[in-house]
Amino acid sequence: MTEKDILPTQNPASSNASKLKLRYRELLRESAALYPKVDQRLLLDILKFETSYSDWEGSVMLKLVYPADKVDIHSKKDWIYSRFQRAASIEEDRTLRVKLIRMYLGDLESLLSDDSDIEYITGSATLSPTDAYST
Amino acid sequence: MDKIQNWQELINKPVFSSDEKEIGIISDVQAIYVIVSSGSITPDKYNIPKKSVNKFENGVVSLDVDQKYVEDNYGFE
Repeated sequence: MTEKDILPTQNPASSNASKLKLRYRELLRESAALYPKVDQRLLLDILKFETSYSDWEGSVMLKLVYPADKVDIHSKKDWIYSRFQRAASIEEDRTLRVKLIRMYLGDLESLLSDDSDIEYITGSATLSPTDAYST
Repeated sequence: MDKIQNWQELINKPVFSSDEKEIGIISDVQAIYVIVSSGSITPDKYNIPKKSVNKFENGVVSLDVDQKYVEDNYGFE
Protein backbone atom coordinates (compact mmCIF):
# COMPACT_ATOMS: atom_id res chain seq x y z
CA MET A 1 0.00 0.00 0.00
CA THR A 2 1.48 3.38 -0.99
CA GLU A 3 1.23 6.66 0.91
CA LYS A 4 -1.04 7.91 -1.85
CA ASP A 5 -3.52 5.15 -1.03
CA ILE A 6 -3.50 5.99 2.68
CA LEU A 7 -3.75 9.79 2.31
CA PRO A 8 -6.39 10.68 -0.25
CA THR A 9 -5.97 14.18 -1.69
CA GLN A 10 -9.60 15.07 -1.09
CA ASN A 11 -11.96 13.67 1.48
CA PRO A 12 -15.49 13.65 -0.03
CA ALA A 13 -17.01 13.91 3.44
CA SER A 14 -15.12 17.10 4.25
CA SER A 15 -16.08 18.49 0.88
CA ASN A 16 -19.76 18.03 1.76
CA ALA A 17 -19.14 19.68 5.11
CA SER A 18 -17.49 22.65 3.44
CA LYS A 19 -20.36 23.00 1.00
CA LEU A 20 -22.89 22.96 3.81
CA LYS A 21 -20.94 25.48 5.90
CA LEU A 22 -20.66 27.79 2.91
CA ARG A 23 -24.42 27.65 2.30
CA TYR A 24 -25.06 28.24 6.00
CA ARG A 25 -22.81 31.31 6.03
CA GLU A 26 -24.67 32.60 2.97
CA LEU A 27 -27.97 32.10 4.81
CA LEU A 28 -26.65 34.04 7.82
CA ARG A 29 -25.45 36.86 5.58
CA GLU A 30 -28.76 37.07 3.79
CA SER A 31 -30.84 36.94 6.97
CA ALA A 32 -28.72 39.74 8.47
CA ALA A 33 -29.27 41.82 5.35
CA LEU A 34 -33.02 41.19 5.23
CA TYR A 35 -33.67 41.53 8.98
CA PRO A 36 -30.84 43.69 10.32
CA LYS A 37 -32.79 44.66 13.44
CA VAL A 38 -33.67 41.11 14.47
CA ASP A 39 -31.59 38.84 16.69
CA GLN A 40 -30.32 36.21 14.30
CA ARG A 41 -30.87 33.36 16.75
CA LEU A 42 -34.54 34.31 17.13
CA LEU A 43 -34.91 34.71 13.37
CA LEU A 44 -33.44 31.29 12.62
CA ASP A 45 -35.54 29.62 15.32
CA ILE A 46 -38.73 31.10 13.86
CA LEU A 47 -37.60 30.08 10.37
CA LYS A 48 -36.91 26.54 11.54
CA PHE A 49 -40.23 26.11 13.38
CA GLU A 50 -42.23 27.79 10.65
CA THR A 51 -40.77 25.67 7.87
CA SER A 52 -40.48 22.36 9.75
CA TYR A 53 -43.88 22.29 11.46
CA SER A 54 -46.83 23.40 9.41
CA ASP A 55 -49.01 23.52 12.55
CA TRP A 56 -46.56 25.62 14.60
CA GLU A 57 -48.57 28.31 16.32
CA GLY A 58 -45.92 31.00 16.20
CA SER A 59 -45.25 31.05 19.94
CA VAL A 60 -42.64 33.66 20.71
CA MET A 61 -41.53 35.89 23.52
CA LEU A 62 -40.44 39.16 21.95
CA LYS A 63 -38.27 41.85 23.42
CA LEU A 64 -38.70 45.06 21.45
CA VAL A 65 -35.87 47.46 22.15
CA TYR A 66 -36.43 51.19 21.53
CA PRO A 67 -33.88 54.01 21.52
CA ALA A 68 -33.28 55.36 25.03
CA ASP A 69 -35.11 58.63 25.81
CA LYS A 70 -36.36 59.04 22.26
CA VAL A 71 -39.74 57.35 22.49
CA ASP A 72 -42.57 57.23 25.00
CA ILE A 73 -42.30 53.60 26.05
CA HIS A 74 -45.75 53.67 27.68
CA SER A 75 -47.44 54.71 24.44
CA LYS A 76 -45.51 51.92 22.69
CA LYS A 77 -46.84 49.51 25.30
CA ASP A 78 -50.39 50.70 24.56
CA TRP A 79 -49.77 50.34 20.84
CA ILE A 80 -48.58 46.75 21.32
CA TYR A 81 -51.69 46.03 23.37
CA SER A 82 -54.00 47.46 20.72
CA ARG A 83 -52.24 45.44 18.05
CA PHE A 84 -51.92 42.07 19.77
CA GLN A 85 -54.27 42.26 22.78
CA ARG A 86 -51.34 41.22 24.97
CA ALA A 87 -49.91 43.25 27.81
CA ALA A 88 -46.19 43.90 27.56
CA SER A 89 -43.91 44.57 30.47
CA ILE A 90 -41.27 47.30 30.45
CA GLU A 91 -37.62 46.52 31.12
CA GLU A 92 -34.78 49.02 31.51
CA ASP A 93 -37.12 51.86 30.40
CA ARG A 94 -36.61 51.02 26.74
CA THR A 95 -37.56 47.38 26.22
CA LEU A 96 -41.02 45.86 25.88
CA ARG A 97 -41.30 42.18 26.69
CA VAL A 98 -44.38 40.44 25.35
CA LYS A 99 -45.48 36.86 24.76
CA LEU A 100 -47.31 36.29 21.51
CA ILE A 101 -48.73 33.62 19.29
CA ARG A 102 -48.99 33.61 15.49
CA MET A 103 -45.79 35.59 15.16
CA TYR A 104 -44.21 34.35 11.97
CA LEU A 105 -41.43 35.86 9.87
CA GLY A 106 -43.91 37.87 7.80
CA ASP A 107 -45.51 39.27 10.97
CA LEU A 108 -42.11 40.26 12.29
CA GLU A 109 -41.48 42.08 9.06
CA SER A 110 -44.78 43.98 9.19
CA LEU A 111 -44.20 44.84 12.86
CA LEU A 112 -40.86 46.38 11.91
CA SER A 113 -42.33 48.23 8.99
CA ASP A 114 -45.23 49.58 11.08
CA ASP A 115 -42.96 50.79 13.88
CA SER A 116 -39.73 52.22 12.54
CA ASP A 117 -38.79 53.30 16.09
CA ILE A 118 -37.91 49.71 16.97
CA GLU A 119 -34.17 49.56 17.31
CA TYR A 120 -33.65 45.85 17.90
CA ILE A 121 -35.76 42.74 18.41
CA THR A 122 -34.64 39.78 20.45
CA GLY A 123 -36.40 37.06 22.43
CA SER A 124 -37.13 33.39 21.93
CA ALA A 125 -39.38 31.12 19.94
CA THR A 126 -40.78 27.95 21.45
CA LEU A 127 -42.24 24.90 19.81
CA SER A 128 -45.12 24.39 22.20
CA PRO A 129 -47.66 27.12 22.95
CA THR A 130 -47.64 26.09 26.62
CA ASP A 131 -44.03 27.14 26.92
CA ALA A 132 -44.80 30.41 25.24
CA TYR A 133 -46.99 31.43 28.15
CA SER A 134 -44.76 30.29 30.92
CA THR A 135 -42.52 32.80 32.62
CA MET B 1 -13.32 50.36 5.51
CA ASP B 2 -14.55 48.21 8.40
CA LYS B 3 -12.47 48.71 11.56
CA ILE B 4 -12.95 45.05 12.47
CA GLN B 5 -12.26 42.39 9.86
CA ASN B 6 -13.84 39.45 11.64
CA TRP B 7 -16.54 40.37 14.12
CA GLN B 8 -17.00 36.77 15.24
CA GLU B 9 -13.54 36.75 16.82
CA LEU B 10 -14.81 39.36 19.30
CA ILE B 11 -17.13 36.85 20.99
CA ASN B 12 -16.23 36.34 24.68
CA LYS B 13 -13.80 39.26 24.60
CA PRO B 14 -13.93 41.97 27.31
CA VAL B 15 -15.28 45.40 26.38
CA PHE B 16 -13.99 48.68 27.82
CA SER B 17 -15.48 52.15 27.47
CA SER B 18 -13.46 55.20 26.39
CA ASP B 19 -12.94 56.08 30.08
CA GLU B 20 -11.43 52.61 30.57
CA LYS B 21 -14.29 51.10 32.59
CA GLU B 22 -15.12 47.45 32.00
CA ILE B 23 -18.56 47.10 30.43
CA GLY B 24 -18.79 43.33 30.05
CA ILE B 25 -18.15 40.51 27.60
CA ILE B 26 -19.35 40.30 24.01
CA SER B 27 -21.88 37.48 23.99
CA ASP B 28 -23.24 37.85 20.49
CA VAL B 29 -22.63 39.67 17.23
CA GLN B 30 -25.64 40.84 15.25
CA ALA B 31 -26.04 42.73 11.98
CA ILE B 32 -25.95 46.22 13.52
CA TYR B 33 -25.04 45.57 17.15
CA VAL B 34 -22.72 43.62 19.37
CA ILE B 35 -24.48 42.27 22.45
CA VAL B 36 -22.47 42.79 25.62
CA SER B 37 -23.37 40.91 28.79
CA SER B 38 -22.29 41.86 32.28
CA GLY B 39 -22.77 39.69 35.37
CA SER B 40 -23.43 35.99 35.72
CA ILE B 41 -26.82 35.12 37.28
CA THR B 42 -29.07 37.67 35.58
CA PRO B 43 -26.66 39.52 33.33
CA ASP B 44 -27.29 43.10 32.24
CA LYS B 45 -27.26 43.31 28.48
CA TYR B 46 -26.29 46.13 26.18
CA ASN B 47 -26.87 46.42 22.43
CA ILE B 48 -23.88 48.47 21.36
CA PRO B 49 -23.81 49.68 17.75
CA LYS B 50 -20.85 48.27 15.83
CA LYS B 51 -20.00 51.84 14.85
CA SER B 52 -19.22 52.56 18.53
CA VAL B 53 -16.53 49.89 18.58
CA ASN B 54 -13.28 51.77 18.30
CA LYS B 55 -10.75 48.98 18.08
CA PHE B 56 -9.90 45.41 19.01
CA GLU B 57 -6.36 45.16 20.29
CA ASN B 58 -4.53 42.71 22.55
CA GLY B 59 -7.73 40.73 23.11
CA VAL B 60 -9.64 43.78 24.37
CA VAL B 61 -12.50 45.61 22.65
CA SER B 62 -12.52 49.40 23.10
CA LEU B 63 -15.51 51.67 22.60
CA ASP B 64 -15.53 55.32 21.58
CA VAL B 65 -18.13 56.20 24.23
CA ASP B 66 -17.81 56.39 28.00
CA GLN B 67 -19.42 54.16 30.62
CA LYS B 68 -22.19 56.62 31.46
CA TYR B 69 -23.20 56.86 27.83
CA VAL B 70 -23.30 53.07 27.58
CA GLU B 71 -25.38 52.77 30.75
CA ASP B 72 -27.78 55.51 29.67
CA ASN B 73 -28.26 54.49 26.06
CA TYR B 74 -27.48 50.86 25.41
CA GLY B 75 -28.77 48.82 28.37
CA PHE B 76 -31.86 46.89 27.30
CA GLU B 77 -32.23 43.86 29.59
